[in-house]
Amino acid sequence: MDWKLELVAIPVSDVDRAKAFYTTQAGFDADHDHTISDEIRFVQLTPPGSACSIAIGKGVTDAQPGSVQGMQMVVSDIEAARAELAGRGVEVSDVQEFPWGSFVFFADPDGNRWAVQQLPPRNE
Amino acid sequence: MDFKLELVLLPVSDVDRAKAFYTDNVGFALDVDHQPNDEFRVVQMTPPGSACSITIGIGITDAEPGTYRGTHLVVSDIEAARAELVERGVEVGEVRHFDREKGEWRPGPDPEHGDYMSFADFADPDGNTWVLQEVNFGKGT
Repeated sequence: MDWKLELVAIPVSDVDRAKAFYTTQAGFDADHDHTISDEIRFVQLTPPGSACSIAIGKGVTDAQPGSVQGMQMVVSDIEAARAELAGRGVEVSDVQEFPWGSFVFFADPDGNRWAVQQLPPRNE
Repeated sequence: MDFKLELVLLPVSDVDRAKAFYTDNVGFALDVDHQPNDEFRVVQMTPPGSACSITIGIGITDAEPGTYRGTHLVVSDIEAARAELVERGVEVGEVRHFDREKGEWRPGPDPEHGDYMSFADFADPDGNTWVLQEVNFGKGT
């Protein structure tokens, strides 16, 4: 049986602010926004082309807002990805080179941190 | 351009213990275990059939161990998945589903096996929590 890692809960303090950030600035698609009750709201967001999504909301996670530090997305062109994010107003780092790829970093309004990686060429 | 969410860095306090848990008990495949020096280690593991992986290690995240909550693993048969985990020694909560009419959690899988309706919970040795969720019952692999 497949066990697909398809959803990561991201702890945020202000769901509307975070939803606006992830959709209009980070460029994620808004898949769902369901308010089940006063205590439960489920907002699912997916980076374009990704098989894995994030969830923000109320009653979604008891982790401290901003405590997620290690989300990583893979892109084909780090400079273009950086330009896209910066063009939509995301405060994104300069491109940093590591042996395992080229990276930029950004954070959401609560301080949850994301890395964007362009993989190094596979052929030597 | 695609932005593929492919990696989640999980904060753990004991890398070997967590690696053993995720590979031997949970059944993730070990992709990479790379340690160039004492301050840096990357252990990447992937759930079977998943497009997204997890990484644990040293010097990769400053998040507090055990603070990641509610990461979801989608399976096609939640009772079989739970049984598999229990057999390998993982403490998994009972399967539960959300009764939309009553607006409350009920024991057992959703009677209709509706997508995203049935859940079961477990935690790693540091307390990072996971949720099994059933999708495509009777149709998946």
